[in-house]
Amino acid sequence: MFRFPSPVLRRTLWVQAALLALVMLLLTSPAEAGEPARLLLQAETAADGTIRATAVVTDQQGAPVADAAVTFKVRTTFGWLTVAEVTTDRRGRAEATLSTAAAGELSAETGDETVVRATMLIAERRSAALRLRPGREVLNGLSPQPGFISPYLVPLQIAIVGLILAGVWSTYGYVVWLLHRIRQDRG
Amino acid sequence: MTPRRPEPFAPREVQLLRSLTESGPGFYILVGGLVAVIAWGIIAYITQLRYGLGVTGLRDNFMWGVYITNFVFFIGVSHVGALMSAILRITGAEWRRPVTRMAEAITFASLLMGALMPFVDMGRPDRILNLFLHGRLQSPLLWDIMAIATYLTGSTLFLFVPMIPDIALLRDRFAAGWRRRLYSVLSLGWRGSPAQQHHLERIMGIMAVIIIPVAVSVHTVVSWIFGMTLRAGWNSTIFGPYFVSGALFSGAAAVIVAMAAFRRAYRLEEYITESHFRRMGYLVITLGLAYAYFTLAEYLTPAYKMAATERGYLTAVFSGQFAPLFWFTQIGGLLVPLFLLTLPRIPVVARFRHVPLLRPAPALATVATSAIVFLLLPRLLPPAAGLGGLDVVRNVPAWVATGLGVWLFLAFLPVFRERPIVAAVVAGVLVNIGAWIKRFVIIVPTLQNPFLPIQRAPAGWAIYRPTWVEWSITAAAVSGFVLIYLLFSKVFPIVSIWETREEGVHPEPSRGPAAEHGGIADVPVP
Repeated sequence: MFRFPSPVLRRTLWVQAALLALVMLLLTSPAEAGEPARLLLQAETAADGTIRATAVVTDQQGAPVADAAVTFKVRTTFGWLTVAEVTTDRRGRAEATLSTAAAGELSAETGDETVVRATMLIAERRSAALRLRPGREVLNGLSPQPGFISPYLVPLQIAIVGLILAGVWSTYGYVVWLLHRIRQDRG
Repeated sequence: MTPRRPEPFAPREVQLLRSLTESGPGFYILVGGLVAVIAWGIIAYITQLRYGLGVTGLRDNFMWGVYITNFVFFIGVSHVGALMSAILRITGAEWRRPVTRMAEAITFASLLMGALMPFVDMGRPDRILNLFLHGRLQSPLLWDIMAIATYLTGSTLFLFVPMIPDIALLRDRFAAGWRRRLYSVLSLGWRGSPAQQHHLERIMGIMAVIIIPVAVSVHTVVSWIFGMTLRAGWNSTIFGPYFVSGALFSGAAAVIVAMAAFRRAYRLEEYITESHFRRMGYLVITLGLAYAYFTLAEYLTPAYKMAATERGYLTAVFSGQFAPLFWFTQIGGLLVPLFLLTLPRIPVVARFRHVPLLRPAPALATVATSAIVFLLLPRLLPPAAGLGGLDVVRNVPAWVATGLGVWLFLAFLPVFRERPIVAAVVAGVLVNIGAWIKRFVIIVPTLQNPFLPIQRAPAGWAIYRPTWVEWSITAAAVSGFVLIYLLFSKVFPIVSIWETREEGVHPEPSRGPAAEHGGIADVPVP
């Protein structure tokens, strides 16, 4: 049987092994089971224009974390505005349906002591509309105001505004012409 | 000996023309004061240009404040000139003749000042061109620019055209100098020939008809800047007529003040009589009642429902931070002026003089004493005054003040009955102060109650506090308005000479220079 040459060396080695084990334990300590460690944020635009945001929360081992509170936020002029607070299901998924106003910077947060956050940029729907032929149906879908009053130029609107302005200004022109006649008729 | 040339003007016309060339020390003091205020306003504006809008109370959520209040106020006051003049011309109201030019000049001066205000509010004048280069036709802001430009042009024409015969008179009166040159150019060679009279008649007919929808559209479009949004307090379907009625109300009241000022300063008692104030008073009463009706409809509907989005705004206006201002507009700017214009005419008011308690002296003394007690006593007494019902004591003054106010008003009614012009002027001033404050109360409380919460902003940003820069520029704008108006009255007669001749008071028949070329006084009124 192997024996250490000296008790001093033996004790030294034991202490070193213990310290090494402690350091390894500290450095490689796995997250507590169920503690959110990663958050994957996804978003897609639904047909009705709303945005469906999905956050998947996993722990250090990649296992889904259930019952974690996820807060969805959008960036506004005055900072981050909380738009939804959802708890994850057993697959670690938390879903929220957001209005089109959420277009822009979307963020999801979870975790009590250590906050895990993911942020993504949601493009405005306007870029998608460019692929379509403009028309009343398209405008109806894009604008909260149907038809005539639209975020896009409508020929009828231009025609009406133009007609009113042209009518008034041509009358002014006629008045100026009459003033010119007064000047001419001074005898 | 050469016979003396007969004076082609009646004595009252001579008095009117004298106001063009003769100015007392009061005039120069007034002009000096106005120029000083304008100069101070320019310094304030340069400060704003140099350091940005941060020197004002405007912030991200308060993009409109005092400047846009001024804008809406001036555009509103501008309404009355063109509209009142056009409607009275079309309906053939003869009493209008001495006052229409005053009203039309108000339109011109206030439009100039009003149109300036949005550019001051923008902060960056170098970006003004962007309004036109990148303006969106769908935006009420662009509609507003078009409407104001159209109205300014139309009202300038509407002011200028009826002045042509008078300018011809002045051209013939002044033999030389800058006045002669100016009047020669602006009179367009007017000789009063039948052809010229025919053209003038046609122009005035056209302008009187077209200026009415243009004027109505301007303030309607101004209201749409607010009404086309979903913001609490602005999301209203009746904002258009509400703004138009309020504009006419304040504008007519401004004309009363102008009438009184010119009557006194230029001694126009023969032109502007008590009857004119009475008739203008009727107009103000009618417009005030219409405005009161729209106000009731505008506030009662959302207040009855108290929807979540409106609640904060309505609470702030009715009983919160803006309540003193709002209730002043309703009582001081609407109710009291209407009472001032109506109650003194009731015969029973004359008997108030015989009631000891309804004499001005005891009422004034009581009000003054009460004011001293209620204003100074809380400051003098220690906070814990040992009054168990301190809250009750604190609430009493509002009701006492109301009672004292009613008492004071009743006591002064006989005074106003004897001096109806003073009553009309006090009413006019109150209406205009109330009108300005009302525009402030329309704009600011809504901005203070946004749909999205004001987050991560300094605490001071939650409340709008105008700074000295804004007040200085506002004072300069008001001074600019008065100065333009004043100078106008020094260059052109503030009362139409040829139109008032047709009113029935003709001067003695003469063969003066004016009569020699067709008789200016014979121009028919459409």
